[in-house]
Amino acid sequence: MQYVSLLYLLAFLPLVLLLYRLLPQRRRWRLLLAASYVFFFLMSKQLIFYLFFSAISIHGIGLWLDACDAAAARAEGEAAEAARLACAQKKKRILCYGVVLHIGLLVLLKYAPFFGQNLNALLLKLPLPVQLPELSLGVPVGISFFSLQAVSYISDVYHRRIRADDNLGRLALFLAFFPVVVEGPICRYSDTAQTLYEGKPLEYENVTFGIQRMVWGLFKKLVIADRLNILVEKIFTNYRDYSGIVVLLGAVCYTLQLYADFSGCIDLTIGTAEMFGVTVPENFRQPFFSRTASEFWRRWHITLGTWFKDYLFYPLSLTKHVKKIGREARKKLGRHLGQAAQVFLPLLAVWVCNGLWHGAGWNYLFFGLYYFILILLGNLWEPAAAGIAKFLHLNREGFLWRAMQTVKMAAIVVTGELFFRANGLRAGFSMFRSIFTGWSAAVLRNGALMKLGLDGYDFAAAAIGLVFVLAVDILHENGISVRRETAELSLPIRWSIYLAAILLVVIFGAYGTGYLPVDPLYAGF
Amino acid sequence: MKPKTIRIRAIGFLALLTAVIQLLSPVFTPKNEPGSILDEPVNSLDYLVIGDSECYTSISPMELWKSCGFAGYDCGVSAQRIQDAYYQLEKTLRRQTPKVILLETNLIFRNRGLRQETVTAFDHYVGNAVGLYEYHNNWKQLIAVGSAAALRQSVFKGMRYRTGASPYTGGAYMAGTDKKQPIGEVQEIYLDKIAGLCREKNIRLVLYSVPSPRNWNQKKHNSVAEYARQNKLTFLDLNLIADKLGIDWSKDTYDRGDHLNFSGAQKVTSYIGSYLSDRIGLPDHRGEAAYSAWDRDLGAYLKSTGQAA
Repeated sequence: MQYVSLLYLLAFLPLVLLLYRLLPQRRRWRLLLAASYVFFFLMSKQLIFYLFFSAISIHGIGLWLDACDAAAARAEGEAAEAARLACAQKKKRILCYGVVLHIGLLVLLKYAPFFGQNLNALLLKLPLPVQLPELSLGVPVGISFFSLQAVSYISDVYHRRIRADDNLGRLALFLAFFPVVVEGPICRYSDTAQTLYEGKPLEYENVTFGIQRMVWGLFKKLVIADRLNILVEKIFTNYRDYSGIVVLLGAVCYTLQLYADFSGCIDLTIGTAEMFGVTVPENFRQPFFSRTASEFWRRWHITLGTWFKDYLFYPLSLTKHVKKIGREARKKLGRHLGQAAQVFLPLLAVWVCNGLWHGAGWNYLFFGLYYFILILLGNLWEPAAAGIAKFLHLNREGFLWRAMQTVKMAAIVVTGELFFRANGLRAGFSMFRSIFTGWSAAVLRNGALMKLGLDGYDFAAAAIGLVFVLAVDILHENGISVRRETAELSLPIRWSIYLAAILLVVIFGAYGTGYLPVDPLYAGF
Repeated sequence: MKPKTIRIRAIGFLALLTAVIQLLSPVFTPKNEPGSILDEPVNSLDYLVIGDSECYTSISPMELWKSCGFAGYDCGVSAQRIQDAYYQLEKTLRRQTPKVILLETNLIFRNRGLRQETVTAFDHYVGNAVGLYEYHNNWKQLIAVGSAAALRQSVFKGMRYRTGASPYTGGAYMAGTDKKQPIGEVQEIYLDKIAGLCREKNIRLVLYSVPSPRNWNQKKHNSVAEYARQNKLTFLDLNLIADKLGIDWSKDTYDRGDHLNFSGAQKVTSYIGSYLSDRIGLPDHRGEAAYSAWDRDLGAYLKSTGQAA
């Protein structure tokens, strides 16, 4: 059941809202939990076991960590210090068990075939008559998301940022909440769990704002993303048939499709949660206005970036070995290069993991390393760039300079997404090369673009849809909330806008006859 | 805001939305828009071709009219699922009484799994009740009505005219194997429904597979052949006789063996024409007053395809 299906929008969600409204406040979280497990079961069937197992395990690990702290706190006198040290050691072991358990499960389910195939390919080249059996286990939807939420919970309990939750139901709901379980955002226990559990009453503003956000998400997903999918599929599947402008168009369209699809589904997610009064973190902040690669990742899939920062980058940066490298490097290379040397390994780890998190394939690893190099070079280059700008009296905050940087960043993003979407790394390089080798403006005149699965009307609908998205992004970038501004208008105007928005989605959506339903793209990662 | 006011507003907005959708539905529901099968006079067609893009790029009804005088329509829809083909056929048969239906088999293997298909069935049933949802995509026709593009489509009778060639170089693709690629549960249910509908209306159902190295293989052939045998249906797998048809993979496909271009479609159409003529005995309507529009359209068709003298 997709978030954009009528079954979800007209039956499942209204039914859950109705029952939620009818139930007493203290029982509402149980309804949300039951609805979430039903939703998950409809998509992953018996693989729901993994979700349940995750909830039980983090519940147990959290209580175990808490028990250690309690035992250390009870110790008095001379034994207190020894108990504290023993507690710290034990907690570290428990944390390791928890992380290995969840990340290990994720790796086993998602990456075992990839590693197995590559290992077998390596063994073939060695004079060893050994081949590993193919291991292909079912992968539950959303495992990449709920595993990270599970690890963040364990880690937060370990660092005493939160107390361990003794309520298994609340933890299970935190992992499984149906709007976020498929493709995030990746929530933190401290932000979300309590608001889920409270069973807040349905409020007029929450419900109306939630519906508006959902309509906006549907617009992006159905009018833009699913329409562009036809062209993207065609070009990336038959990439050998195309070159030059067509491949470039495919890469640009895929980038726009991914943004419209993912941010549209996140709008649906946040809108649904908002109706129940649940706080879910934002995942996008106008990413295409970024000027550098690191800024892009602070605006795109924000919760994944912050997860890696908080649970991988900082812990690695603060290890003894990395700090030592930093100290030595600062002595020998100076402050700036020394700092770069210190973050080198943690940054590499983050981007390798980021790449592989998106999928088991060499192109995903390449995608991660691509951004690693860009961010590292960006950091190294920054003082020199500032110096040159000062020398040349360039205003780096001026409109022209910022516009140029934004265009440069867009080109970088499109290039990255080309490799990301390509059917393998080899195909990615082949497509990238073909952009330059087969350049011909004739395709703009000879009707070749109309043979990519979209007609002129489709191109027009997608382009107008993108203009809407750009306009809303500009308003948001300037701190203007479209929903709040609309809410201030008189009732006839407001209702006309709402009706028009719904009709735009219904009429211009790329669904029904002639269109295949497109699963949310990030649900596959 | 008072709860009563909220309730009144919610009901008011939903009522308004429903009213607007009801008002717009007839506008989008097709009646006689140019370029559609619904534009054809009632009970005027001898055969229909249904399927996905393999279908609308492989059979040209105007070629069949030109050579045999058969009146038919190519109802192929890009990436169509068999469920949608069934419902489309059901509607079409309310206006037409063809003697033959040619079902291109590629869509039988468009399978998203039982659960996903069950979920989309709900969408279909709800959507079917709302004309605006079902026919929303007709916004394109609404804009195009009266335009040259619409007229141009209408003379092709559903076929998509594709020229240009991008060769297929992969070699033989129908390797000898007894293995079968299973037909999905939902797909088989709808295949049965199509067969049942044809039996009920006394229409001959013929399964055919267009030569397509990218989409077809021996395993799919074996499954469909078995289904055809069990259900006493004719199955014409043109992949097995692509050489006999004269398909030249260096010239007859515009996308490396995924679809046929016009040159390939002419060869397939010629074969289908012989089959319909020899085995089914469809009537030749050329020269009949009731079919004068077809003769008129033929001129435009020949001009559009560069065949006019």
